[in-house]
Amino acid sequence: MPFTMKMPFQNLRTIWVMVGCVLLGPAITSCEDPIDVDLDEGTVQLAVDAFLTDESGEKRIVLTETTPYFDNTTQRFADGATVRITDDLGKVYDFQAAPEGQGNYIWEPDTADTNFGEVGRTYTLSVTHNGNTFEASSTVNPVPTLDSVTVEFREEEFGEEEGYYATFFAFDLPNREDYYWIRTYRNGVFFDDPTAINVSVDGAFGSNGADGFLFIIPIREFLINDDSDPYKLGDEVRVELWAITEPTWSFLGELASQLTNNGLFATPAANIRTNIVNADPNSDVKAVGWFSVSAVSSGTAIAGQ
Amino acid sequence: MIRYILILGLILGLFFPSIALSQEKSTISGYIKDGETGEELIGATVFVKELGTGTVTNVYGFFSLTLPNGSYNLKFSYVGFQDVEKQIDLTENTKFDIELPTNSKVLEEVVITGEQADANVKNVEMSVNKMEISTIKKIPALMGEVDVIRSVQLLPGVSTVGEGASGFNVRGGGVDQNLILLDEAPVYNSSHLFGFFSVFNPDAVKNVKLIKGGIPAQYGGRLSSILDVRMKEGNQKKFAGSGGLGLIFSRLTLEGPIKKDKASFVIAGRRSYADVLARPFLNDDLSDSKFFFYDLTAKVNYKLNDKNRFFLSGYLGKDVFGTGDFQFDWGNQTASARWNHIFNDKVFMNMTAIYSKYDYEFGVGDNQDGFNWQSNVINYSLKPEFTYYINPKNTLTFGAQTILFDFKPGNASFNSGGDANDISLEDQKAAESAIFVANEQKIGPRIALQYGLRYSIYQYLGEGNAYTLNDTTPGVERTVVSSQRYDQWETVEQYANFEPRLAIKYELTETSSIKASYNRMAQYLHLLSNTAASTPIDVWSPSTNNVKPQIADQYALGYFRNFKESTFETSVEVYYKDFQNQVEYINNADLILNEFYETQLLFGDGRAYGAEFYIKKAKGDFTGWISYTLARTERQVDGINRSEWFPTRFDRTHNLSVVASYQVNPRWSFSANFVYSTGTPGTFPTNRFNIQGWVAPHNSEERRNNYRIPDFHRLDVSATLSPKEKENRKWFGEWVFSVYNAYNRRNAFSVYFQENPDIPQNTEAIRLAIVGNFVPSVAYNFKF
Repeated sequence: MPFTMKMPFQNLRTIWVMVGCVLLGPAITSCEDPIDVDLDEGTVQLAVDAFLTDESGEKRIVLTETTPYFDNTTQRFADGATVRITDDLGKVYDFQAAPEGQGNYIWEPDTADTNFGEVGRTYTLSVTHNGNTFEASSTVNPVPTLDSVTVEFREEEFGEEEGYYATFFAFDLPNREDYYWIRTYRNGVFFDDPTAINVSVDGAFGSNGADGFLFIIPIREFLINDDSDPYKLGDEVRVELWAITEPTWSFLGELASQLTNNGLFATPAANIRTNIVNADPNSDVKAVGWFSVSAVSSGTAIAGQ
Repeated sequence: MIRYILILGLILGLFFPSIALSQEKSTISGYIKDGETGEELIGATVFVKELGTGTVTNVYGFFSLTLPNGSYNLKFSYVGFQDVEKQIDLTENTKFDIELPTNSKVLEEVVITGEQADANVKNVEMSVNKMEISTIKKIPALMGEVDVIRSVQLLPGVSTVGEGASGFNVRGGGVDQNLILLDEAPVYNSSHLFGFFSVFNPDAVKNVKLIKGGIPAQYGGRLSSILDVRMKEGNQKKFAGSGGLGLIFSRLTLEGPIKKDKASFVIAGRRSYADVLARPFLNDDLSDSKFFFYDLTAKVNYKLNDKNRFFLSGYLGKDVFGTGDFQFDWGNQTASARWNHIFNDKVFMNMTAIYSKYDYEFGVGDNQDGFNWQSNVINYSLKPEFTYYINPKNTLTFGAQTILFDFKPGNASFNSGGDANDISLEDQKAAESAIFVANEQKIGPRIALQYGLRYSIYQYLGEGNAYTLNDTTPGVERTVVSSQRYDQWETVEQYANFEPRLAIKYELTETSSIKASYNRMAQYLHLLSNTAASTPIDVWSPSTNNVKPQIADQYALGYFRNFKESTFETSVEVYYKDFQNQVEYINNADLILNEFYETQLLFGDGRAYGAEFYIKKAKGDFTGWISYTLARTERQVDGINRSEWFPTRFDRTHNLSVVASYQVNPRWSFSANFVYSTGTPGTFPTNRFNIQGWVAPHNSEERRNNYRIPDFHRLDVSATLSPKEKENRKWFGEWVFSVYNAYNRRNAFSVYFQENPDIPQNTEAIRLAIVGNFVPSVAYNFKF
């Protein structure tokens, strides 16, 4: 449950800003500033970015290689790899290098073949690159219906600018432990604030018996809005509810922690888990990244309508 | 167990005096007090001129000295007070109290320790630092707020993970390895406002003693240090008050006799008023924010007769933060009741009953949509302790302690759309008991020994579930294989440890000595904290069937030498510490409200070693000390850092403190302190990769604490203006002007890594500075 920690810690952080910047006087202008750090580069590794859904259309996987942490210019694409997905019925999906290259690999469904991402199926990804073969698998879990998305206008209040705020309504699937990733889009642009990576267990933060509940307010509301830049009249708000597996939930939780691991109460930096495993158990060559296949439900609303 | 100790005490009390009489010896005993306030003096000396021997008062100001019958000249002394000499013809057991007149004001102000000047060379104890509150009050302080813990951090062997962090680290030990005692009651969180201020009101504190090594047998339960904070008893002679107005707190302390020479009290309160001051500057939507902390300390003592005296002390403190529908508060409550009983002139008993509680509460939202969480740790304890002053060469201490712990790791619930859900964890219970015996023995004029044994026994008790966990690859989350239910008070797991303690002193010359010590400590409680600084919501947790007690062995060796009639005290100490069963955490561990938190823990070994250099000038207009520590503290945990040794989060190679104070004239005094320490280690990423639009950090070599943040250094200065000397002055007010972080350095607390908020594809290292500029302040203190 890395996420149960987030709420108290974010509030601790708010308090800390009050302490540092209000209490200790207006003379304190900044408590945090960028510095130069000389870091050694580690071993270059294959990085897999493969989050696929059951929605129709092409499936895309991006393969890159890790770069030095502070190198903002170098990009290393893993071109020339063999990428294939096999499901537990033996069906094979061969991915081809995309025309634009840059590590993109796509699979286009033909007309008779649109059921990728079937609930209950297990998919296994295989990537062969530079002589190493890596594998990962993911099972598709059921997703509840996203009942509605509503948007309401609010005056400015504590911590929130004036504007339109969205809420979605969905009930957790009863009698099972479910893991979700909620992705929000404003006018088609993914809301990628790392402090708002919105994952859930049974519609709540932890696996603590919220089974069958309405998704709790931090998830159905707080984490799909940007308090400093709320939706504007006419904005299209799209909320997608992705059913994920427990390991994928852990991966996203760890990613969120590592992207926002700051302040007085930071935890020791830790590597984010990966499910990309070298097929040769004796090999020292490792990869990073994640493979996941989700069933998705979604809803859309327009601010002011 | 306690019963046996009491019986043992009775036996000793009944039979030993007759032995003493048969040897035609008699005992002198009594209390040494401050002549002005009637406060008992801790560590005052009694010196027998004819025999060249003597003793010191215990923590209650009591002394006992058994000598062959005869005629003696006794000298009673305590630095900062005038000596008192007394001639006695000893033919039978004699009892009297001595009041030492205060020296002139100026001399009183320059006292740094309150013992005989050469105590550091002569006493068998080593690795001990004592601080009088008058010393602590001279150190320049953040916002002018005199602070016990921050002063302790300037001593050799003591460090902190960073400015504003709660607690302190002693000789490579974690913050949870210090036993912090306020009138013998353990304090579980010593901080207000995270770590900026400590919970002790300096106006109510009498003295502070930090024991880092050679820990005597009567103390146990923590690995690394004992911080023994003793409160004042309250003025026995007249009603008096003191207080202050600072930028953070206002303070008021009242004390006085309830019944002259029979009973007295002290009550001290503080409250922060930053919230009151800040309110006009906050926007309307912040005006309902709550932001304050307070503490109240009170103590009464009652002397029933010459043989029985009672003390009752209490502490209550709280920090409260909130805005609108969010509230977060935490605090300690302690109470201790003590009974000093003198069985006869040679056997002194103290019986202490203790209650201590630390709790916090966190709430947000309402009954429709909200979250609420409470947690606490409570302990109840009884500690009888006997001191038997056998003869001037042997002082025997023995006793017992039993503690019952009640842990409430989390009472929590949340509401969603009006549906409520209780996600509370079950309470945990444990009992820790110990018996101990120790003797302090003088062999000839040069050698003194202190040897003892503590036997501690611990039970993890029902009612509750105990889990069996699988074995897995080190560093990977374990899983629960099976669980077993235990009844109320049923023992789930039991641990016991022998903890030998030894210290030896050899005097090389009148002004120099060497000392050595060994101690083994066992610790049955663990503060589960995986964050850079310990937070108020960290949970104290018992040893269980899966979590074994922590053990530490420490060896220390020291050379002590004084110069110019003890004007300069110097020491060099080296230590080596070996730790077992140190708690670490798997990557991305989840410790909050997790019933199966044991699956998130890893266990390993630790080692710490270092050298401490200390020079102190205790006399004159110019006083102060320089302390330098060269140290290393490391851990080895399977599953972290490729299972190789790595430096701990609080490892600082160099740690220098310079504290100086100069009394220019009776009205003005100036103080400064400078600290320098090596930056703490941090785990920095080596590489990055893109995933779903985010730039994720990655450490391909899987190293822990592979870099260090920039070094820390800071200068603080202060000036104190006292009022003019005047006969019969009733109101004594002083102004303290100070500047903290005088040269405006932005010291890093930590360095973290993030995507640039404006250009997420660019990554950057961010320095977090807790105090980012210089902080001037003024405070007004008064006494009447």
